Amino acid sequence: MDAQLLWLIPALPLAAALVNGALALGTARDAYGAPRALVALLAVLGPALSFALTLALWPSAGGPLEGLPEVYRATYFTWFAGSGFALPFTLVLDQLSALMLLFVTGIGALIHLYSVGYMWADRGFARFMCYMNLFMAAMIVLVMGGSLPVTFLGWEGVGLCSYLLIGFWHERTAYADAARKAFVYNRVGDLGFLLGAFALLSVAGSLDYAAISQWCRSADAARLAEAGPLLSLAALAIFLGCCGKSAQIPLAAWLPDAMAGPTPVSALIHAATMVTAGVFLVARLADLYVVAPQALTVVLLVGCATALWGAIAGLVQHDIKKALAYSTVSQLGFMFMAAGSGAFSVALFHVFTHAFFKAALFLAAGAVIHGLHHEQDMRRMGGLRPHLPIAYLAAFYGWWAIVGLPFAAGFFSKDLILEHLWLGHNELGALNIAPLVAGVALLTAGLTAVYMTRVMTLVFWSPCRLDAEARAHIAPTPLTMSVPLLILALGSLVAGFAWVGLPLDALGIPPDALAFIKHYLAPVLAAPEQRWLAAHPHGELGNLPWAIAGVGTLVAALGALIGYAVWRQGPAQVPSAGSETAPSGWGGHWTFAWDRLAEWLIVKPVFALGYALYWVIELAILGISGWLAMQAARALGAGYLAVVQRARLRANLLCAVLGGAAFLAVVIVFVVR
Amino acid sequence: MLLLALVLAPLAAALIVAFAHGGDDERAGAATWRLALLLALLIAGGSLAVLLGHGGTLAVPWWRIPGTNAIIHLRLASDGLSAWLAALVAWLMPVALLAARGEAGGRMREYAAALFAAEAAMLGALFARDLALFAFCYEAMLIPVVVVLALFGGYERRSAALWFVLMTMLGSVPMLIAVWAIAAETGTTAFNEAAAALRAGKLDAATLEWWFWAFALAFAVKIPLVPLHAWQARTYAELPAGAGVLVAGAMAKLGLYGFLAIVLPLFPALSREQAPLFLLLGTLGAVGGAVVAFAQEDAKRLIAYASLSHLGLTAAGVFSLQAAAIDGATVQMIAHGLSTAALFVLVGALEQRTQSPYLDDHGALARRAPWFATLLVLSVLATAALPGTANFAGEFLLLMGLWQRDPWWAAIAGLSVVLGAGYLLILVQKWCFGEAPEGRAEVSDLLPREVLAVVPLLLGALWFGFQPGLIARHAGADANALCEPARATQPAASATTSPSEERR
Repeated sequence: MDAQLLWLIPALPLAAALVNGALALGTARDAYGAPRALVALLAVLGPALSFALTLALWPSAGGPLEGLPEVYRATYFTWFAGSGFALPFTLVLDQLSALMLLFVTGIGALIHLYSVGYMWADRGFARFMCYMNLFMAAMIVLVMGGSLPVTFLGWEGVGLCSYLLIGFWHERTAYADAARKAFVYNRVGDLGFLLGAFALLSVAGSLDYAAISQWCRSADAARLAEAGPLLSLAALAIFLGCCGKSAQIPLAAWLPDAMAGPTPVSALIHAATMVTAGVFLVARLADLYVVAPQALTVVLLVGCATALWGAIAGLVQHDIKKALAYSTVSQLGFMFMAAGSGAFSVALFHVFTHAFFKAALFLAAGAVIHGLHHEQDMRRMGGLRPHLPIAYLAAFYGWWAIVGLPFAAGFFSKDLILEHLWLGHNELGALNIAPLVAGVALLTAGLTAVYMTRVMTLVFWSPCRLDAEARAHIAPTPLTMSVPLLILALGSLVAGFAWVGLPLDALGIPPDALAFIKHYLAPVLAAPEQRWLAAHPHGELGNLPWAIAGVGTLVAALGALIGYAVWRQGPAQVPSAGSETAPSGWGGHWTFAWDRLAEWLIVKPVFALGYALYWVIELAILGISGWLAMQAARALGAGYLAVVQRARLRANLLCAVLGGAAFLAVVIVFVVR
Repeated sequence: MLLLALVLAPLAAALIVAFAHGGDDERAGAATWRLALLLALLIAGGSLAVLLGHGGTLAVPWWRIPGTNAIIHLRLASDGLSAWLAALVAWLMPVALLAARGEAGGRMREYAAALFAAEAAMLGALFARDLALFAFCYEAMLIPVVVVLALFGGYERRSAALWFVLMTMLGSVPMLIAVWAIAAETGTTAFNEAAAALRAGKLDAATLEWWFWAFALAFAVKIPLVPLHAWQARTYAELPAGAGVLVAGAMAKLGLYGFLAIVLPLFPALSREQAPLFLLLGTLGAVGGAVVAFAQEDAKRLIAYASLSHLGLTAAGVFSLQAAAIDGATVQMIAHGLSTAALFVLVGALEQRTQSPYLDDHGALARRAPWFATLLVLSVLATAALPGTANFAGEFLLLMGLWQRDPWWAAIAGLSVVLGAGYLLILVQKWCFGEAPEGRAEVSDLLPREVLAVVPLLLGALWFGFQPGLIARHAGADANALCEPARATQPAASATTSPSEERR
């Protein structure tokens, strides 16, 4: 197929967004709103067609073309043009963006279908679908961008849609606050993105990914040493952007608040796709990060700290969505740990598997919330397995995968991360910290098993804490929600085989036929990974994979047992409906540590400074001096002031008009002469 | 001749609307308004012809400046920079009239005539290639704005008008004297002849220096740069929306234009020497304005401090003297004109319905007035420089240029971008979301005419967001050419060592 057709992939959801937006705005004052069937059809069709188009254009895993790994590349117009800077608007579909698109559009289409059922009764159905479609378009642009600014267009676009969707039920002030918080946190990261881009431009002379990679690959040691500080600065500044988008410390605090959005939003944007954009960007710039090793060590440490923090915070949540949100923060930390140890393709593999099992978990949570009529407090659930069988099935497979018990998706990706960390080599001073990080990661994996089992136990396995009436009114899961749930449940179970393959020799299928991800990203990522390995050699492998898999399984099983044993009877006491779900005590301090830090270090000082500057400088100093000057002028009776005296305004205006006419006459006389 | 026609047409239009329909009743007001809108659109169409290069030039001797040998010429010409800014002025005029309809009522005559007079003065200043003519037009802008402010402004209009007049005069009276002095000293007031004479190096440094400061002061007040911004928030808060569109959208850019078209070519060495100071003042305004915006309770004051922030960043970019930043400055001037005008129209529409521009007085407008809320969100996003809007293209290039000057400037000035998202989204949240404040009546949604005023502005912001090159390659290239002499001069350090070398 023609490369020029690439634009259709983002344009289809964009078109759906525009039509749905027009429908939403046009019917905003009607009693019922836009025709739901039409809106739903368009909304699902947009991403589904993008998915089909991605498959049709699917780049083969062949070798690099003309020295560059891109398979499809299309330039549409010149975005920036001028004496200082020029940039073409380029979209790229290479193996990396294709893999991202595969689940962005695929899982995206499924979640759109789910949303049809979930949001059907909401008055803002068309508006919701408009934002969701717009998000798809922006996410696709982010992934397909051929240069940093084009990616940034999608990057802030998804941030905007995230803002609009978190605050979708904006009558609730807390929800609108959460939306604004998400946007501003992301903006902090985005400034890092921009500054990093400028630094890269001054080093490599281009913002095009291919040119940046080419520069990093071809620069000799002397040039790299000379550009070293700027390269590190660029890598770190861009990583700050990734911290914002992917909710890493210190910009992690927005993601749990983002759960204010409807549950499909949490599944699509705040679990499966948008929040992994930071990992994607680090992988996209892998060639840069391997020549800035200190920056990569920072990535590793930030990922490690965030994974641990998120896992512990996940332990103390009562709100089912908050628990999953901290889990997402923690899993994103795992992805950054993988990237930080130079295993970019493993990081992408975890992005891929996580998209399935976390979407399954969130959508299952959505089905529970839907079933219980907006109850989100896990302490008030329990024993839901027979009542919501499909939600249970999806949650169970998602749980299996995230805990990392053998054969489910998360098992393989988590295991590979641990392996790379254990064998890896990241220097902090003279110390090799990678094995230490591996220890923390193993501990975090154990904690993951504990908190996820806690969620499953409290929701499905412990005794039911619903009163009889609520139990009688549990809403069944509609078909539009069930189908995506089942597909994602299946995905959580089998997505891991996309790396390890299946022994299907008996069926005449070669063993690696299914293991497409393992080698698929090689044209893009093999070069930086090998370069990293050459500079930071791994130890001997030997029997280690089996040992790590064994230990990992053991830790996961132990964590799951603890989780079940502690919470199998449900919570100590069941709170009344509508009571506070935020953790208190040490759990609260731990959970909100970064919020409070930002509150006291940034938010309050900015407001305080704003008021101080306004009252002291603007009103007091400038105001008083101006007032004095005015009194002086008034005393002097300057002629100009007469203009503003209202009584004489008409006369003055007439004078002005006549004066203008006289001026006009003079000019005409002179010119015509 | 087209240029002259374009400058005179608004004057003629002012006369026509002042006398075409007599009476102060609503019907006469409506008729005047329709006529004014038609005339404004005709003039706006003419500005496109100039943009396409059909302006031509004109140089007619006029009169001798008393006490000098210099003869003022009616000297008009246009380059990319002035053509784009003129197009901005001319196209904001219909927008201003669309917004003014609800404010002026029967007294549309005065309102429209004053707006046209202001337009004529602005176009004159942009096309003037004679210092005296420029200074005359630059001064003349003031009067019609004060008239509208005093007639149609808010409760504090008298105080606001005083602030506006006094501070602008404070800036421009020295400029008038400097123009006279330049005429007396060099015998010419033509831009390029005066520039050649001033750069020839025959004048003593002290004289040049006070001329430089006289011009710089006049333009710094207009942008405004800190600490000369005290008039801005006070004036914006009282301006009716129609005049606000012209003042905030277009008039402030005349200050930047003055720096680019006059200060930099006339005083290249001094500009280069003082660039760090202006860079600092611009950055201070960019960050300080953004911080102070958090303390605002009045949306118009919030817009004022947002403008202080965005135009401070633009001024900083100009004085970085980097090619990318100059390109960015031209893009940002247009972009800021479009987005600020849109905000002014919307705030004005709400104020007309409720008599309150205060942040805490409204809520839940997303539900109660969906068109208003949608357009407000889009205008705010453009102002906050979301990628895909012209404001992003401008700020991206500005920050890039500042980075090339020194990464620290970009990092500090870039804070304004982060803060901008904060205070602008507070505005959106308070007005559009949450619950409606108690005791507030229903707010009727935007009228078609108000939607019509805002939508083209947003479409323009979107179009230039993806095609900033249209502005940068034309206006940006010419602005860069104006900066060339300043860029070519040796930095201040070596200039101070040269006299001692001569002595040896």
